[in-house]
Amino acid sequence: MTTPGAFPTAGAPAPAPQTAGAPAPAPQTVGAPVPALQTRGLRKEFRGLLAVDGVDFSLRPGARHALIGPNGAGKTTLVNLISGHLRASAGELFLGGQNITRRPEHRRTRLGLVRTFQINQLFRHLTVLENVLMAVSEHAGASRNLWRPMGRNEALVDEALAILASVGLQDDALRRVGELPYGRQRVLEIAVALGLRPHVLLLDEPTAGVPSGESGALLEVVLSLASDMAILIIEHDMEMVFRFAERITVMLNGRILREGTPPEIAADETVRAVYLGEGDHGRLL
Amino acid sequence: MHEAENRSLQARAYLASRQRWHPAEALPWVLAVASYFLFPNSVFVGTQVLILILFALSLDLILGYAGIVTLGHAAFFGIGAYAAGGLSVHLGWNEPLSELAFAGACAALAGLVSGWLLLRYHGLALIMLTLAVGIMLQETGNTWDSFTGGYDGLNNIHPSPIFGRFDNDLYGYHYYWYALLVLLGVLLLCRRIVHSPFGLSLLGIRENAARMPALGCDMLLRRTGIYTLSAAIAGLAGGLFAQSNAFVTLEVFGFARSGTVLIVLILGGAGRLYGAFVGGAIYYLLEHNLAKLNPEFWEFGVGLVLLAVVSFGRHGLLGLPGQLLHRLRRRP
Repeated sequence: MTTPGAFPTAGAPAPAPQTAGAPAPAPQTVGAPVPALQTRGLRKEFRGLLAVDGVDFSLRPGARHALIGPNGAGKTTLVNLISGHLRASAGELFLGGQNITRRPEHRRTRLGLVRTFQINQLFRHLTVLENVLMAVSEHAGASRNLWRPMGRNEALVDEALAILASVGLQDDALRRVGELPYGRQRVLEIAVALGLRPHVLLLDEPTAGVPSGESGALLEVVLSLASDMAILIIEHDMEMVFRFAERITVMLNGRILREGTPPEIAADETVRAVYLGEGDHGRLL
Repeated sequence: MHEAENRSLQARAYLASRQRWHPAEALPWVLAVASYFLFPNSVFVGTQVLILILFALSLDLILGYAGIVTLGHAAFFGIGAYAAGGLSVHLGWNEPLSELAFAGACAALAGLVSGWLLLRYHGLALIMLTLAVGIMLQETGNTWDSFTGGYDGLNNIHPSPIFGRFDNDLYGYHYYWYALLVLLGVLLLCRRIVHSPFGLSLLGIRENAARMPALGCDMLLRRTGIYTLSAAIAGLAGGLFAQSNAFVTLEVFGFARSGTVLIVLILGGAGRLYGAFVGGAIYYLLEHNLAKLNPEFWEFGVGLVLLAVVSFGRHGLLGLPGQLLHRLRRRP
């Protein structure tokens, strides 16, 4: 984690950051490429509490985008709305220009909108290989096959192994997930997502709970992800955010406070005030 | 490249090893054959135990693998029983194997429709809905007495001899083998399914159902699929019941039967296929021996054993050895 003042401060004020109040962009603007993912006026109300309050947000194809903000800002709720884990109270969602607002979670996943979880949601009693195989089989539509033994589905097994090798877990393939150090479990969480061949990948705090000694390997994996995927990462570890992201969106109280390049965000007085007002957790600069 | 090939072979060998036959898997069949010769006077009762095991095995697919808790599984047993019985009594169709297949098919259809409607619900709501469906079926059966015979039931179910040779003899010798072979066939089918990609996704549902939609799994379809299959097997058990007993009463739909099969499976251990075998055998032995001690009070004994098994570990009698080993290993 960076200490206050460690990040280079840009001298010039940030050029007109996009705010929540700005008019929503059309899903397809002439000339501009179709965003990989776009939300319009996304809202979520929990018994009178506005967790997400009209968020307009978009990811360009191949984006490396970070979503930051203090605890309770609505980041995870936003990811849950995008993935379909939660149903939005209002607003619309587009994936590659296609309106997917009414698609249930599993349909969105099949369309290539894939997420990881902040808290481990792995199958702990199964092996590392089986965890990835489950994703690969679902994506290939093989999970409807109730006859051919898993061990004879050569193509699926090889694909799962290739994914494990790409994130450095090849030697753990036959271990039970519960035996793995936590850092590697978090890497596996990403490997499972890769088994679903994402076009848009939402990483919900990949380093949450990972001891600092193990977070380096995780950062390497995140940095090495294929460039044609659009990636949105929620993260409290600012070192990771600033090494990874080309754009940063800051959320506060369910709204987008600022969006800009890392230097713009680092220099922004409002953002600094939000973070300096916070405790040790999630300190920005 | 060589290394990758090695890993692939290793991984596939591991996956294949999971479905290799364990020598202990011969045990239930050896015991079943042995008890036929050792207790020739109890062969008919033995057939009923095999039917109970088959019924519990069907429940294991949904409870043990897909995590669906139901208190109305007897519905499919009952539909199978009345399908087989009705075919014989009302239509005069007496060929036993096709009759049994018809019983399985009718129950499967009921499973498909009710699963597709009910499996949108979870937890307590689902338990109550399955219970309600069971009660409604029983009442429907009571009202529709021209078909079901009302509370008197269907009598005179007389399947013709199997392959024209093996009839339902007085001692039930032939039907013991008939039931045993059906059970073996179903077990082979279940083993195959459990180790398929579909079976892996069932394990996923059991371990972490909330994750499955994020893997692209349509939970309703997947759960309806296994529910249909389970219903078909329960229907086979019901069909065998009707054929071997030569009569069916509305009791087959009863809540008591749904409860019993749940007890049998939990007693033996859910989620490992053989729990049904252990549970079925133990349940029968308890019933038989405790009833000798006190004919009125044997269920108290069953309750006591269930209490002990469930409070000691969640994996039933089959899980006990593993749990003991685990405890011993943890001791320094």
